[in-house]
Amino acid sequence: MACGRPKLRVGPSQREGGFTDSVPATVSRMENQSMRITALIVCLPLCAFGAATAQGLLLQRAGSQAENRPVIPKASKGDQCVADTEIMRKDHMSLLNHQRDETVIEGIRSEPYSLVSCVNCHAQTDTSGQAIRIDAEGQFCESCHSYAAVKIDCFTCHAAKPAAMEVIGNAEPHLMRDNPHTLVSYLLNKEANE
Amino acid sequence: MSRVPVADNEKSLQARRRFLQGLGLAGMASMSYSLLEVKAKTPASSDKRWGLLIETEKCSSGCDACVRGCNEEHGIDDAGDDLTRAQWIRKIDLKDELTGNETSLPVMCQHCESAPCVDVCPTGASFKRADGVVLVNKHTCIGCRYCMMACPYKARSFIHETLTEQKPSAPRGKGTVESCTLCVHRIDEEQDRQPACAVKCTEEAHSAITFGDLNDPDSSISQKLNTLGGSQIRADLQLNTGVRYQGL
Repeated sequence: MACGRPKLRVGPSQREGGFTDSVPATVSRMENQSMRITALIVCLPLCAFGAATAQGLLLQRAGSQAENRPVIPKASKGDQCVADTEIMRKDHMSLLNHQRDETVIEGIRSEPYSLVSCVNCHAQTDTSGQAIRIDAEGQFCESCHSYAAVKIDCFTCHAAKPAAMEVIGNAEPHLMRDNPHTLVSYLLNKEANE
Repeated sequence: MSRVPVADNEKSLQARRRFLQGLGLAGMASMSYSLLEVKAKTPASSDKRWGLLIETEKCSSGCDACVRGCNEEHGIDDAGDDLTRAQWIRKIDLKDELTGNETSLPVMCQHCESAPCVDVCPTGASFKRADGVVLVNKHTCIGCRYCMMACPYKARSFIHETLTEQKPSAPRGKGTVESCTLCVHRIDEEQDRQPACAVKCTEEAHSAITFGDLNDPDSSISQKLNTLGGSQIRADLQLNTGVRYQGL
């Protein structure tokens, strides 16, 4: 069995002086040197210019990146999210997916990572007090998702606005405090905690 | 015949449940999120079997309180083409041509124990919860509509159009199949909370719909069934429905 590296075969041209044979005899040593100097004179400023331009471009790009960072609106309610910002930024979809299965299949509805809760705290209201869809341009979900170029499918089925106040007002009163999805329960619980 | 796939499905559901529980435990152990200690509510249990009893003698022709209650609760638009709009509950009027006897009754998903819709679903999106509620997991529904063809009660609807302004508690969207959920979001939330149809029927002073646990001999639904009995629609199919009727 042939193991290990195959031995290199040396070709006839390399053995007999190699490439020098192909240089025409008319080019003298002196001419060769002067050509090298000329090449250096031409290339050095070109290299310096290239480096400066590249650096400029990089700086410009970094600047524009900072300018294009998504402006994420602050949550309209609450002081604290259900987990730290770093965790939510990286893992919110895993948390939501995990709880989604628990809720739909098993009927567990008391855990914190609910899409309804996200909407309740993060949806903004316009100047007339009307809720804005959380997936509208510049809103909490959309601002970051458009920056990251990730399509949000949640809100083709799920409500993108919190439940309307009049609906909550008509709800059975004993449920208002306990239902974590209502603004009333949030306000009552906040008051109780304070 | 139909019991074999149901048993298989039960097994796969149990396996999935175990897997999810495992995931949950692993997650709990590895993550130190401050809010994970929120009260763990127990999952739907097979100790319960939720069901409805409809007393047809209390149900009057022309009354559609249950349908309105359902539509309001789930944000279903009752306008539009009858062939394509979503109908979770239908009011049916029957007339016996021989005797002239007339009966009116609501028909919705019958929450079968051996549900044909669950048997035929290619993705497992149509499933039965441990407490007997038959649901569509819209996250995995591909809109093939096999379940609609398999359902002997014509209880399922397909959403043909893009929807907006859904209710937070009732996510609904184009390209998926849906049907009566027995208002799981309400019954999971609090003990003794009734589905919207039963609430509306009682509000409008008919009280023709009783909701409760069929496994609990002391529940009002079991008591009523025990004293006066109750029949299934298409009992010959032996689906063991969770919705029973009196006076049919």
